[in-house]
Amino acid sequence: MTLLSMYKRDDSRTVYRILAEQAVRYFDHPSPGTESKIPLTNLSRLLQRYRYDAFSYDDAPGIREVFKTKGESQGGEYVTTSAKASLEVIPALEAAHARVYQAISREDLVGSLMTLLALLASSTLPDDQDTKQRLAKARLFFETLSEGLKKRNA
Amino acid sequence: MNPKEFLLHECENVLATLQDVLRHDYAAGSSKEFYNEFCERLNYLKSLIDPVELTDISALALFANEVSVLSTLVHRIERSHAGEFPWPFTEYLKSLANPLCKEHLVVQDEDEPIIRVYAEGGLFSYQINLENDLSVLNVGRRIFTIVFPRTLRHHVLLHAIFGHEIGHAAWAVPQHKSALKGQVVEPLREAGPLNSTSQAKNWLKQSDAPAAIVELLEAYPDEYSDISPNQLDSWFQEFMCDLFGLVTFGPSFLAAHQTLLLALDPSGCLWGPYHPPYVCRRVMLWRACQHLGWPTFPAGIQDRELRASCEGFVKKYSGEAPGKWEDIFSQEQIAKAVDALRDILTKAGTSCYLMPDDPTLLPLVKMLHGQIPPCGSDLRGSEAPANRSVDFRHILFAGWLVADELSAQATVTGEQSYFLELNKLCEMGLLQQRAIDRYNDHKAGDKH
Repeated sequence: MTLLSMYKRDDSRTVYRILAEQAVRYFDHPSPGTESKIPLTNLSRLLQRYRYDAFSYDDAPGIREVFKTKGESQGGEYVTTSAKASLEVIPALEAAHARVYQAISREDLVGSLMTLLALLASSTLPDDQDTKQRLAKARLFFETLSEGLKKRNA
Repeated sequence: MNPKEFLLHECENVLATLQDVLRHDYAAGSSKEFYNEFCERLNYLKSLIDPVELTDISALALFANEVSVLSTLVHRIERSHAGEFPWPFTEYLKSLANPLCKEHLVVQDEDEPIIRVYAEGGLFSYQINLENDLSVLNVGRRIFTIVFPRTLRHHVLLHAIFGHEIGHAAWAVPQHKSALKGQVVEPLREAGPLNSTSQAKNWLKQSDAPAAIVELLEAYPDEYSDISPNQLDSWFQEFMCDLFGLVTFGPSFLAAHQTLLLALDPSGCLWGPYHPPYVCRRVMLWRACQHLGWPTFPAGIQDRELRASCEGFVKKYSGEAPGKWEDIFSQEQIAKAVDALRDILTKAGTSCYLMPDDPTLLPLVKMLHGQIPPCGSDLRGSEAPANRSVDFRHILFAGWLVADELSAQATVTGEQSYFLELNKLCEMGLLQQRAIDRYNDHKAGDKH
């Protein structure tokens, strides 16, 4: 028997609250290189999931699985028996999308945000007015996202 | 020590373990990439834990899981001993998986996964761990861990089953998942007994269900009488991955699939939260083979013995017409799914399997008959040998053809060691083929 067992939780709300807060900080103080790489990469993954509506836990369970039957004790840290959709982050994304970018399509929104995240991750951030406006809008998107995730957390 | 202090302490422990592990030459190839990625993750995690308030319970719980994930990962690498699994096969597997698993994210040149390998006990251990959890905070480049069964270290013919696992890896990339879901899974779902959970439950209780199914329903009513929506989702993902294996690895996948799955479940009727009954998977593959025209492939072979061998293979692995109960997809559904899958793979840059011609397959089979590792080596004795590039999947196919010939003899003699020897020959063939391929690549590079 292991020390502790628990059902697998959906921590995605906490994950993306933290990442969105960090993104806001990087928009204020760009920090290219390894420091911002992981958070910006993970936010890009989130955006890709949003674009393709791919929000689910998908285990790759191997060629065959063996599960204990009811009545037998389960081992392991986590117990999960099926693919569960992770939906908690979606309403916050949709709200930020609607508030900041209104009618723009998911595909265009994600394309635009990923371009800006790539700029933030690089050492070449253009200084023109158009880019500044786009960055300010993207910053507001991530700020709204983190606020939305905090509210649901309350 | 409070939870935050403990987590910071454990980060130091994980780093110390990593440095200890990589002092030893455990795994060739991507150690440097792995080390860099791992250190970046650890530093990032420490930067998050440092300022966190002790009252932020959800963040602390999340960070505890993150530290645990890193600890698990470093332990897997510790167990990644270079001699416990077939390196040449793994390199070919990576060449199929890499184009599919490339993510297009913020940092260019760092969007391919880092693929690591280790061996695990048990026949069920064939697996790829994907780092595909939405609730994990701390992933830069994904680290995919391929798991081989330790006892099947040399059995490259069985490793064709990894074609199925690459399907799961592709499913983890949102862009591919969307295409696979819409174009491969949807045609399979649109009709048939697994179209809904209620239909699926009725299907289980149909009067023409195999006797083993009826026995299961009686013996384990709690586990085997219900099918949930999530379960159906998982089952269809498994069907998709089986088609994936067939289309990427070809006939070798068919043989490995049958050999392994029937060995693990001789009735073919067990199922679980993730996997549908094997009998249904087999029939689906039978229909896919029909669509791909493989049953007529032997007729085009000129060499009489090779033709007989191919006919035997087709009969053994794809010969029988399906029973009614397990035949849950129409030919049209399978045709749609297979064509879409081939299209998706081609666009992603992963080559679908194409049946070999006589001049490719025959020398490989002859080499195996002569106990020579099968590959594109020119054995004619000429002063300037013309070694050829050969698709590694043809080497596996040749291996299975000879395995079935020897299997018939083994049934008479009771001697089963032929299979291990054959696998070792094929493993050596893959190793030599890689050398030939690299030589040819360099030569072509020099010319350009």
